[in-house]
Amino acid sequence: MATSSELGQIDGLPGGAAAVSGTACATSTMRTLANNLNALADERSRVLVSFPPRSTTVGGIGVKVGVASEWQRLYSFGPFPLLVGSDGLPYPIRARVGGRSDGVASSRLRIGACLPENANIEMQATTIGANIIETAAFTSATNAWRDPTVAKTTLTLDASFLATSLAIVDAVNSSSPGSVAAVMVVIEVWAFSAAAGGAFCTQAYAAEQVPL
Amino acid sequence: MTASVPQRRSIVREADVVSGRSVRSRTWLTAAELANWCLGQGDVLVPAYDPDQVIAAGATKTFQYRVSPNGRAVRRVWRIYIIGDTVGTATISAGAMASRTVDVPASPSTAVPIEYLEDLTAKSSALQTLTLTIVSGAGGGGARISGISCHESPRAVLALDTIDRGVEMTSAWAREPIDARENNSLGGIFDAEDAMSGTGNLLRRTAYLGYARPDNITDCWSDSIGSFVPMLIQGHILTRKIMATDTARGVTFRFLCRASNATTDGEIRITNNTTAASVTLTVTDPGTTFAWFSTGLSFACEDLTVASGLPGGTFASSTFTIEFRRTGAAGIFYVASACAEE
Repeated sequence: MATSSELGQIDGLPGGAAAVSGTACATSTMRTLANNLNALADERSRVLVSFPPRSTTVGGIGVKVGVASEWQRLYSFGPFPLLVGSDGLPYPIRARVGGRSDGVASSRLRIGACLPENANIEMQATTIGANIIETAAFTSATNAWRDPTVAKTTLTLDASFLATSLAIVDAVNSSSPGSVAAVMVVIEVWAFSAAAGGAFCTQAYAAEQVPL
Repeated sequence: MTASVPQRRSIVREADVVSGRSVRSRTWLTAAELANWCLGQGDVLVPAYDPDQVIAAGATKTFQYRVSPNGRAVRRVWRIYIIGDTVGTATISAGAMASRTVDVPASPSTAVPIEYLEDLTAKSSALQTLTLTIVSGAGGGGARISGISCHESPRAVLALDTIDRGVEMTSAWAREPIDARENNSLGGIFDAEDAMSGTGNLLRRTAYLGYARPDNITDCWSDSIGSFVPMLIQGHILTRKIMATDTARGVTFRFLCRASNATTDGEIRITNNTTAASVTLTVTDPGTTFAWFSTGLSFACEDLTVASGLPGGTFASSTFTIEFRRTGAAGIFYVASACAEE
């Protein structure tokens, strides 16, 4: 949840260690310090996918020519190491997807955050989880964001999103190799169209968001 | 002596800090953990996007991004997705790291992921250009690049110095003296907060947008007509809420521009579709070599009272449009990259 009592930083803190050395600090100063640290962590979130369209008519990737009425992967982005909250769950991801159809065929898009090994199953499942958004059917041949049937703007990741070991280095010049525990997810976009080659994804957006 | 970075964040209990009562060391140990967690996470430098580029067999394409890192990263992770027409290779290089050649299997409709690690020779928070070069192998059938992103690898341990600003964890243990030195105890926590807080400090959101096309006049955006044409439309930017009173914050846009001759100029217009505010960047005599130009515009902050962070709960609160055109004498105005950061 958003953990800063003021829902943001507030002014009034001394500037660093030197400013508080040898000085008694007021209760308000120390509460401000706590609030500001929580606010910084609340807004530590990052933009993972920022893929706007270049026009209303072109761009993107479409479903395979010759294959209709099945879910197909169009994009896979990442995997990214996600921020993990105090409850052990990754920060939710604010997400949106859009595209176009051929003007006739009924098409749908899905955007989801999945563990890499689970994406193939989860993204084409009949019943999707809270980590996936599916748009309402559309036929328009104009590139546009597509809203889900039921209003939903965030992908929620549950306790099944376990951390794995991620190899890192901890110093410059490739030195101090080691590992950290990280929840690695891919952001995937899949499409379904009644007509072969009918659906295109032309835009996607995903950003971490501290949970409420 | 270590400033370890925990995997999950913690929450400092503000209610523990009450007048007339001692504050447990556990409260400040949590604060030290949280400071290290904030500082130790990597940032996204290039949010993922599809450059929609096909690289013919044997051809080279270079993508440029303009970023100001927060300065603690030692490794960047590039993710490139390639769709190959036939079996081939691609050679990836970024920064000073050696290039890496990877096989690109025939995958006419499924992207093949490639990871390229760029280990840095120095930590830097300076405004800099990231360069990604992709060479499609001569023997292949060409490659369509369907995804590029770059993020910093998280850290396990921060250095106890004025760059990383790590807080030594044992200094906040129970029965340890309250210390006001840098990187230690309450002094270290104050230092870390001071380094991260406010605008332009060490916890900025480093990228709202990083959309580069190859830096050549064939593949990049171009206009010779003289009226505004779309560059990017329907994009989303929602800024980091820094101060509690913030409802909007500035975003810096940077564009990689050139012209077909010495006298051709250009303009780039950015519009916040929610407020209808816009700014026009005038690029005067950019010449025939690509160079960076910048401007700024304000966008709404995330609303921390809404689950999605979207003001009003809708994406309509955060969209932008970027258009561009040639101005001045006849000629062509080119733009090869559009980046946006806090």
